[in-house]
Amino acid sequence: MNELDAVIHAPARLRIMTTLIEALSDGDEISFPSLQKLLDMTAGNLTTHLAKLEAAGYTATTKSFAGRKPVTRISVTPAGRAAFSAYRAQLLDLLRGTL
Amino acid sequence: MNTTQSSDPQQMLDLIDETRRTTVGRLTRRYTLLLVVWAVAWALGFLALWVTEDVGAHSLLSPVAGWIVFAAAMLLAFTWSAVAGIAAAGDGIRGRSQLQGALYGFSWTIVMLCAFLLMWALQNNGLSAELAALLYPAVYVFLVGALYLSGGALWRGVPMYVLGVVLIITAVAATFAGVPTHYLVYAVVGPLAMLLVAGLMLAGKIPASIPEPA
Repeated sequence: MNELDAVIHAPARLRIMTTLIEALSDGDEISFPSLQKLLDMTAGNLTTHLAKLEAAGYTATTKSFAGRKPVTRISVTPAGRAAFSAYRAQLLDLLRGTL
Repeated sequence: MNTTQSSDPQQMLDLIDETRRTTVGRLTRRYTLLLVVWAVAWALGFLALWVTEDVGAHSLLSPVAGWIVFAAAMLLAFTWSAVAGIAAAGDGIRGRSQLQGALYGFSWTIVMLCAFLLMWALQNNGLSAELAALLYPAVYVFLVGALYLSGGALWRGVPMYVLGVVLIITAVAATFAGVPTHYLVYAVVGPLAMLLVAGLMLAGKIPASIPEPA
């Protein structure tokens, strides 16, 4: 059987991926503070998990400035959406006992 | 397959559902509140007209008082909508859906403003006061219903879509009921439908946006 995707198969990162996919359409990005508010996670915790998701190519981060204030924005990559769908399909298959 | 993994899938699927519900709830909270505001405004405004002398079926309020209550209720709800629309722009989400939301927001302003001008033009061309009393709310409620249909379609929100259908049917039914009963129909059916949809949104009825894997 295929192993479950370890990058997504952790409650904190599954919550992040689910929230990003639910809140963002293709081509959308969300600011770090807004994402943090949606998830109710500490900034440090969110940064750590986002780094892992980004390393896997599932999310992308852009940094820019609004005046002098740095703004970090996060988006989901097509690979991230595909990995999430595959992961969810795998969970359903596991439940049906077909794996 | 080991035992830890076989017990995991259900928990993780539950976590996905719970997270989706929380996210949608947090993103749509201000719209849920907006529906409640409009429900109250409709109930108050149209009931006031229904009990206004020479306008409705009873004479509890003078015409001036009745129209002031109605106008105040509508003005409050319109202002609340505008503020909520502006606040939504500060959600921290940018990109394609931002344009989609902005265009949808503009549709409301354009449709509402032009509907008013359209009916004004009709009155200038001889529409009687009695028919105007019937036509104004009917056109507005009908258009609000149509805008909810398109909003429901855009965001895959079935409750929103159903609300649109109910409002359109309400406009038609109220117009068949005629003056002044139509005020009572608007005062009762519209708010009930809005509160029901607000309740569904609060209960975490989520749009079907994650496709089921084949």
